Amino acid sequence: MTPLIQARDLVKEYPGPHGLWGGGPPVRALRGVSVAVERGETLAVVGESGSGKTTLGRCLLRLTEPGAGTVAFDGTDLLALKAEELRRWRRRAQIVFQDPGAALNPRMTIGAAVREPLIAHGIARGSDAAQRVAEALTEVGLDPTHADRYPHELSGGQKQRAVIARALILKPEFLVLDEPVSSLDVSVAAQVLNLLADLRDVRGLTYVLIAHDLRVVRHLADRVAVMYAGNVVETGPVAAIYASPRHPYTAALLSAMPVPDPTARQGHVMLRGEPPSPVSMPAGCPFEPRCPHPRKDRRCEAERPEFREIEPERRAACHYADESPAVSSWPNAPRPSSSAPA
Amino acid sequence: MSAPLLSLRHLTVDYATDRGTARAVDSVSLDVASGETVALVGESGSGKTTLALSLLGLLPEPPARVAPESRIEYQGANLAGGDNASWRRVRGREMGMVFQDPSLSLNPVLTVGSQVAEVVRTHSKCTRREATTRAAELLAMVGVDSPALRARQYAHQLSGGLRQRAMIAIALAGEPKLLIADEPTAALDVTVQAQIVELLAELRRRLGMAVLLVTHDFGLVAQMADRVVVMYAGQVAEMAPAPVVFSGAAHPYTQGLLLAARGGAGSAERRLAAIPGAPPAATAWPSACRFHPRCARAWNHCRAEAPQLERVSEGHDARCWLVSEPAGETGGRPS
Repeated sequence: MTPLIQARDLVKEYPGPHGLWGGGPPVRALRGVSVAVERGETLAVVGESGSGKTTLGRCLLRLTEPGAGTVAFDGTDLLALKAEELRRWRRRAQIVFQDPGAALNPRMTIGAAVREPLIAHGIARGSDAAQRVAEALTEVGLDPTHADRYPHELSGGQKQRAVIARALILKPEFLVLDEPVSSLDVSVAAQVLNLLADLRDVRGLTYVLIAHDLRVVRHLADRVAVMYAGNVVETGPVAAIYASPRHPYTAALLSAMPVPDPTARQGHVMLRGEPPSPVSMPAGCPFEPRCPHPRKDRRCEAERPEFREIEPERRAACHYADESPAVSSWPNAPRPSSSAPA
Repeated sequence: MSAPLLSLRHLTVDYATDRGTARAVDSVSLDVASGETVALVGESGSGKTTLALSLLGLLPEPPARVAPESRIEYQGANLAGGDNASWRRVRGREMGMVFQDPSLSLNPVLTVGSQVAEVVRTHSKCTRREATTRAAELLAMVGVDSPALRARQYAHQLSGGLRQRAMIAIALAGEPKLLIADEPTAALDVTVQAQIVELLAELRRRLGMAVLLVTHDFGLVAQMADRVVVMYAGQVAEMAPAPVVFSGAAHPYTQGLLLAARGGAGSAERRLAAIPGAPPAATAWPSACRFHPRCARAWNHCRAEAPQLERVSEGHDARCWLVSEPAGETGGRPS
């Protein structure tokens, strides 16, 4: 079966920071990323800031032009589409952004915002459009009367529902959800995640869910791709990743997650330092400088690990990924304060 | 028990808005003992940040107004209603504060070291050179690598985690007895969050500081707090020792927050437990019990009369009719 969306070897560079004496070296946000998502599947892309997850999401929708690589949607080469073809294709794929307050025009009513795609694509107008807006608002759990309100009159959760209604009104097949609940309150975030799950099941939608919070991922995703410094370092079914991460970075991310239970011995692997800056990358494994894996050796410093199949449906970019890293046996990295030179 | 370090009594803060007066904090009473970590938990609009700012006299007045009956007793002396000079004796020296977003709190055009040194000189008589040395020591104490080098750098040259460490160094420069930390990890990456939590826990042990941790994250609460105060709609909904909150929260709001935080399954399979509706706005708190419009267990009495904070067990109070059991009504305690 061909995936609905398939990206191969995506590379994206941004110009380096401007200095007084010319630009710095380019920032490589994506360093050859390949992902594939089957129809009806939800792939979560997880990583910390600077990992390239948002750039990947934008490249999948051609909101950002990748520097190299290919993106195929339902067999069509997305990067070859001309402007008019691309515009027509946009009905099939939409995006939901992190901050609904920023995604809605404060001077436009909710109804006008949700209606806009219909007008822009010449699909409906007048009372027909109003009818569709009312349906879309109802579908996301808002009241049709919300159409006359302005964004500031709505709560954060209601605004995000309106943004989802706008994304769905063209009846797309594919949605990129970029941190869809990270600006919402805990009690409200769960409502929106449940809504997204319902919409997927009812409409057979395909999602790429971008998240830094693994708790969000667990409920919505079928598969997970973990990104670190512009590369995918591990992929696999969500349950398998949680049960036995094979890349030490995945293991560290999982164990850094605070557990809301004071009796749980929070055995977090303390990762030293922070993600490498996208302008200066280690020669070998990009994770090597922070890696707490006891098997770490010369090879990790010198040789970049291949992103290889570990078992069916699971891949990881670690020389020692065949052994599931037994996190409990890892020595905790020295605490930052004791590592500071005197 | 000895007198608490900080004791709030009927702390009330109003904001003047164009839609009338908003009572953001409504008669909050709570204590923080020396060396104790108290987590102040709530969602946006619950009043937790307003409360934290009022403790240091940092609220803009107007539009904010601390009601005259409010008492902010620090080591027995009431700070509420004090003038600027009296606040300045407290800020930094007695109570330090760490804010959520370190990139907004540091001055971009001054070196990090000079900002730490400035605070050192504010709190103690010393030469510029001594202050610079002390600043580097403080940066080393909060786990900044090569502190002398970092002290000469600007905020934009530091990562988010290092900036937050620098902010903590600034807060500690006056050797406060109480550190107020407002969502200290919310703007940081997960692996860096874990480092900052570890640092705060270690500093607390080493310096014997009390910490008032303002957060919405029960994961953070579980790692750090001795006691938990849950706020809803400007009021204390529940307070209890941390283990009690996690094992036997009495208020349906606390229970709901915990279920949502644990990612617990709701009614149907693969559904997350959510609390219906949204946190209310301070201009329009619901009548009677402020949580009743969102509460699955609300009954008539909850819509008719506001519950008071009642004792559940020693050190555990909750504001809920399920706890109070008004005369003539039926309704068992939550299991």
